[in-house]
Amino acid sequence: MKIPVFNEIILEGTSFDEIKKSLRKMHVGQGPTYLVMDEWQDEEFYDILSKLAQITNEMGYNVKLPFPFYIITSSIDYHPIFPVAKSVNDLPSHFRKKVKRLKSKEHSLLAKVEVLSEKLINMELAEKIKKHRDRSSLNKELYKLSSELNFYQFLEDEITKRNKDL
Amino acid sequence: MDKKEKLLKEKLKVLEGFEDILDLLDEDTPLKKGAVTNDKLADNYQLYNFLENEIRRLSALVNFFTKKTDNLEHAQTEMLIDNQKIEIIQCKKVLINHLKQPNQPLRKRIEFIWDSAFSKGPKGPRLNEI
Repeated sequence: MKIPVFNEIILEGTSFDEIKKSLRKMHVGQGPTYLVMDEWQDEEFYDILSKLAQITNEMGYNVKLPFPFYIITSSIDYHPIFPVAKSVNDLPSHFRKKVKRLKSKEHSLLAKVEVLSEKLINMELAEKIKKHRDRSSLNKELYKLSSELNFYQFLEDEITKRNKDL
Repeated sequence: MDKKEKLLKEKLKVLEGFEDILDLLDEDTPLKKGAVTNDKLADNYQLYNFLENEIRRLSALVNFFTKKTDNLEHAQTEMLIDNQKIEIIQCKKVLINHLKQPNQPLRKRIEFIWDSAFSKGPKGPRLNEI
């Protein structure tokens, strides 16, 4: 496994197959990657984005975990599937490191990284994340109801306390 | 022939981790002199530190998606939501009963507003009478 630092993806073309080939070549999903999309505008830009989403979904890549696949563009601030950054400098500094020849200790650490990342890649992350989302909305509802109940109980306590004082 | 000296166990423990360096000294090879620059040391440390952080990050993710997600299967949120809803209804009933009492400030306020708005004349309806 290579050291998980950012690698740039360079598309060989904008057709479905060419994008797929480029993603395969750069091992998207097995390390942090980014794609600079400033050269495409409007329709073409959105077309490539939808193709990318389709391909990553088809190939079973998760674009956020274990390693992110960033889209570098100034056209949009947010995308529901891909993490977006304005420029290469805005990418998380955690994955921006100078790559050097590894020593034996570092090799053993890298082997551990590989095992853990493989473990994550082999999990059905999309399904698990969906479960967490569903559960979080239920938890939010529970929080809302608990706060409401808490407010009513506070009112009741205050009223009974005042009645006693009278 | 020189007799080989054996080190005591305590001594060996102290030297643990320095075996590689001791081997170099044994070989009588001239060690390369020259200061290792701070930049080089920092670079090595950064990469080592990065890999350690990465292991920590990935372990936390694995832990989250295996152990914690398994616990979600037995979550009781739905049941708790139902309980809270029932308790809210009960609490509201108690509150309304309290607030309905004639000596309650809220009741007095509403009475005052009602009476001043609708019962201007002596024959106008009073809230107590409704």
